[in-house]
Amino acid sequence: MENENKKVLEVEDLRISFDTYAGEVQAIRGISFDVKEGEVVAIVGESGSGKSVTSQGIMKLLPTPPARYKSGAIRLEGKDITGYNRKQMEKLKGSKMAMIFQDPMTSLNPTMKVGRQIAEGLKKHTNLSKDKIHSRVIELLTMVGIPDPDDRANRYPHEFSGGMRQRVMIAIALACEPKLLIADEPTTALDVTIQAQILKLMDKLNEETGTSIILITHDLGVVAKMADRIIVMYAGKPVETGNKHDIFYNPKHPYTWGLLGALPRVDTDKKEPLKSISGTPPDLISPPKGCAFANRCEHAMEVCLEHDPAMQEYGEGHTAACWLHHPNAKEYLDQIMEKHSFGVGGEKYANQNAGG
Amino acid sequence: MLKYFFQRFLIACVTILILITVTFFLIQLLPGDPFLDPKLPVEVKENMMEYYGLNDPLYMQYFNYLGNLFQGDLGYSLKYKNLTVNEVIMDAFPKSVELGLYALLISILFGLTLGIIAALEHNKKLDFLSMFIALIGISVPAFIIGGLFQYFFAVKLHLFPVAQWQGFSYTVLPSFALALGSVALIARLMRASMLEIVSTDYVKTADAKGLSRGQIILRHQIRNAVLPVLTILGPLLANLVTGTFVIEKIFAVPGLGKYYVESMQTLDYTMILGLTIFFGSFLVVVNLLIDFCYGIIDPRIRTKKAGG
Amino acid sequence: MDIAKEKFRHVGKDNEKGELITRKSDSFWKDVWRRLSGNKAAMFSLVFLVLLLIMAIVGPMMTPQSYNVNDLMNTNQSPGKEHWFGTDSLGRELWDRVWIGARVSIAIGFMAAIFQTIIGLIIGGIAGFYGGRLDMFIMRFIDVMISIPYLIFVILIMVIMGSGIVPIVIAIALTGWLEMARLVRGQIMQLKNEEFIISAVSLGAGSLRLIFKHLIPNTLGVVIVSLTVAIPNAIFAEAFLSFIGIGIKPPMTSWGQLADIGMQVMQVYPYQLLIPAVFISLTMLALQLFGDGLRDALDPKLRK
Repeated sequence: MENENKKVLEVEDLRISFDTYAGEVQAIRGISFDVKEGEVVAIVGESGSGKSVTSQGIMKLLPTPPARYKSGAIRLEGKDITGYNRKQMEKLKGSKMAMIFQDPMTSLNPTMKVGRQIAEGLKKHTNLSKDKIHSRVIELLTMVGIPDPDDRANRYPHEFSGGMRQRVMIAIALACEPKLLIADEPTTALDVTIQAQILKLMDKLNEETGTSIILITHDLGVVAKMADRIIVMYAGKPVETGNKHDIFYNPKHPYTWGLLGALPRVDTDKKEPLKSISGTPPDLISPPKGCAFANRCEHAMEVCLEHDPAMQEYGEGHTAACWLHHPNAKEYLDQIMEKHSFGVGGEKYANQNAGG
Repeated sequence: MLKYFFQRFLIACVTILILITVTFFLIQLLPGDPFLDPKLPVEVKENMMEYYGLNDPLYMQYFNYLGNLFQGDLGYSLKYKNLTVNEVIMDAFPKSVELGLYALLISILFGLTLGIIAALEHNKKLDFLSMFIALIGISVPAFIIGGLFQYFFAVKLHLFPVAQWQGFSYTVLPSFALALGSVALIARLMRASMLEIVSTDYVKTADAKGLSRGQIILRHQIRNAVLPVLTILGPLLANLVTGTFVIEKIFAVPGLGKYYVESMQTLDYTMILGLTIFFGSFLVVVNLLIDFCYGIIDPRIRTKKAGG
Repeated sequence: MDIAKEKFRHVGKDNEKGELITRKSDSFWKDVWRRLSGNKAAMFSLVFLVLLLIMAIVGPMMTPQSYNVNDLMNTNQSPGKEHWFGTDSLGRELWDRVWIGARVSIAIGFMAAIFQTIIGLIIGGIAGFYGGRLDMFIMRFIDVMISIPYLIFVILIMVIMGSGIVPIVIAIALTGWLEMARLVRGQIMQLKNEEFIISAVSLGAGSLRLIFKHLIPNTLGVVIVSLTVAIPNAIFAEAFLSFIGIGIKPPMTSWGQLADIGMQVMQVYPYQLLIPAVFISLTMLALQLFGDGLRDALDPKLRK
C-alpha cells in the first residue's frame, strides 16, 4: 500500500505556449496532476485540447522554439526536472520514462531492422553485452506478443502490420523498464479489433511490470476499462478530473456530459439521436475571457462568458471547473438535472465496458 | 526482384535501339554529303562513297551500321581520316570519365555536406549561406562558371594551370566548375529531405529513446534523407555528361566532349552518330545501374517490386 | 467569488461563435499574390526581369551605333564613356549586342517554353483523358525519350536544322514537352475521379467541353510551375548551344555566343566575358528566385 502512493510524476501548473507568426498560441494554460506508482492516468479531450502537448511537454520532446515553457514544474520521482537541459533529459528519456505514439505506420524508422531499433535504447542506457542485449530484445518481442521473435527481429518495419508495429513500439518503450509510459493515442490509428488487443496488452504489462501509464486519448471508451484516474482537458486546461467512478457515474462538467453523450452505447434508446458536441474549440491565440467552453455549452450562463470558473472539489480527487455548481446557480442546475440524467448513462456505459 | 530487374533491362535495351534508329535516320537529314570539298575529283568522291557504303539504299546502310555496331564497330571518322570512332572513344573517354568522377565525388561530398548543414542550422546563418551557394550553382551555367574560374583562379591568381590535362593540378578547376551545378542540386534536395525527416514520427521515437542529437542525425535522419537524393543521380549524371561538352572545350581537355562539340562544327557525321549513340547508351546503362542500386538499398522497394 | 445572482441567467450556446472560423479567407489568386508579394527575393527578381525586358526593347536605341556594324577603327575598346560596355574584336558595340542578345534569349525562353507547354498539355491531356492503350503507348514513349538527356537530342536537331532562333525554339520545344506531358497526365488522371468532373459527365458535357472547361483550368497551377522551370531551361539551352557554336551565329548575337567570343579573348579583354556572364547569371538567378517564389505562393504546403 505504501508503494502504491509513491508519486512517479508530479506536474504542477504547467503552461506551454508556441510562438507562431500569428502570435502566441497558449497550448497548455495550466495543468496539474500526479501519477502514482502502477497507476494508469488517462488524459481525455478532443484534438487541439492540449493533451498531446502535455505528454510531449513532460518528455521535453517539443522543439524549443517554437515551444516555450512559461511556468510550472515537472517532478520525476520527486526530482525537479523542469530546468533539465537536453543532455540531462537524454538520460531519463527511454530509461525512466518512455513514450509511444499514435501512428505505428510512421513511428518506426523504415530503413532500420526492428531488432536494432529496440536495441538502441538498451545500448544507450545499459551496459549490457551484445549477447545480453540480443536476448533482451527477443524477450521483449515475446513479451509484447510477437510470434517467431528471432526471425522478426531481423526484419524491417514495412514487413509488419499496424498492430504488430504498435507492439514493437511498446517493446521499444518498455526496453529499459521505465517507471512511466506515456501512450499518446496508442490505438487511434488501428482497426477496432486490434485496438482492443493493444489495450489489453498495455493493461497486462501495467499489471506485470508495475509501470505507470499516462494514456492520452480522445475517446472515453478507451479509458473506461484501464484508467484509474481520468483528466478531461479542454482548450489547454483540465475541466474535470476524477476516478472512473466520478467521471462515468457523477460527471460535473457539461463538456464531460457531452463526451459521455457522444459515446455510442449498445443500450441507447433508438429514438434518441447520437449526440455530439457541435462547434469548434476556441482559438488559443486569444483565449476567451470566461469559460473556454461557454460558446459551445448548452447551459452557458452570463457569468460563464465573463469569468473563468476555478477548479472546485466534489469529493476526494474529483474536481471540476464549472459555474453551474455555484450556489447561485442551484435552481438552474436542478432544472437541468431533472430533464436529463447523465449519471445513469455514464453508469450504464461504465458497467457495460467493465463487463466486456 | 529478378523480374523487376529483367523488366528494367528490357526497357533499357529498347531505349538504346530506338536511340540508335532515331539518331541514324535523323543524321541522314543532314544537308549535303560529307565530301563537299569541291577540289575532290569526282572519281575519288565516287570511290569514297562506295567505300563508305553511301551508295547503298538507306535501309541497307542502316542494317550494315547496326551489324557493325553489334560487333562494336562505330566506323571511321570523316575528319580524322585514319582514326576510327572507336579509337577516339578509347583515347578520349577515360579522360572524360576521370573528369566526371572527380566532379561526381565533389558533388556528393559537398552537396550532402551543404544540405545537411543547412537543414541542421535551419533558418540560421549557415542555412542561408549554404542555400545561397546552392542558388548560384543552380542559376549560373557551367560554361560561365568555367570561364570565371579560369579567369580568376588561373589567369589572375595563378593558382592552377589555365588549361590542358597533364596532371592532378590540371583537373582541379574543370572538376569544380563541372561539379558546382550538381553540388547545388544535391544540397537543395538533401536539405529538403532532411527537413522533412526532422518532423517525422520515427525521429520523435528516436528522441523519446533518449538518443543524443548526433545519434539521431546519423542513424535516423541522414540515411533516410539520402534515399530520395539517390533518385536524382540519373539526371545528375546527364548533367555532368553534357557539362563536360562545354567544360572540356573551355579547359582544352582532350576528352570525348571536346570531340563531340568539334564534330558538330565540322559535320563529321559518323563521329556525331557514333558519339551520340555512345553518350546516350552510356547514360541509359548508368540509369539502369542506379535503378538496381536503389532497389538494393531501400528495403521497401526490395520487396514491393518483387511482386509486380 | 462574489458574483451577482442575475449573472447566473441561462444564455445557452452561441452557435455563431462556436462555429466561427476565426481567420478570414481570401480568394485563391489574391492569396497567391499576397504570399508572392511578401517574398522579397521574388519581388526583387520580378523588378529585375521587368527592367531587363524594358532595356531589351529600348537599350539598342540608346546609342547611335548598331549591334551588327563593324567599326574596325574602334576594336576591343574598354567600357567607358565612349563605349558603355566596350566593343568587340570587330568594333561592334557590346552595349547594343548585349541588349539584342537579351531579346534573343528572352524570345527563345518564352517561345520555347510556351510551345513545349502546349505540346505537353495536348499530349498529356490526351493520354490522361482517354487512358487505356493510347495512354500506355504514350507513357512508354515518354519513358524511353526521357531516359536520353534532352540536350543530346537538342544538339542533334540543331546539327540537322542548322543555326538560328527558329531551329532552337523547335529543338527545345520538341524535346522539352515530355516532363510537362507527364505532369498534366497525372493531374488529369487525378481530376477525372473527382466529383465535379463526374457530375459534369453525368450532365452530358462533351469531351472537348470537359477538357477545356474543367480539366485544363484545374491543371493551371502545375502548368505555371513548370513554365517557371521551362523558361530558364530554354534560355540556358540557347546559351549552351550558342556557346558550343551551333546555336546563334554571327552577325546575329545572343548571350551564349557573346560568352563564347568573350572566352576566346578573356586573357586580354576580360570584360568581354564578364559582361555577358553577369547578365546570364543574374537573369538565371532572377528567374530561379521568381519561380521558387511563385511555386511557394501557389502551393504553400510545399514551402520549406
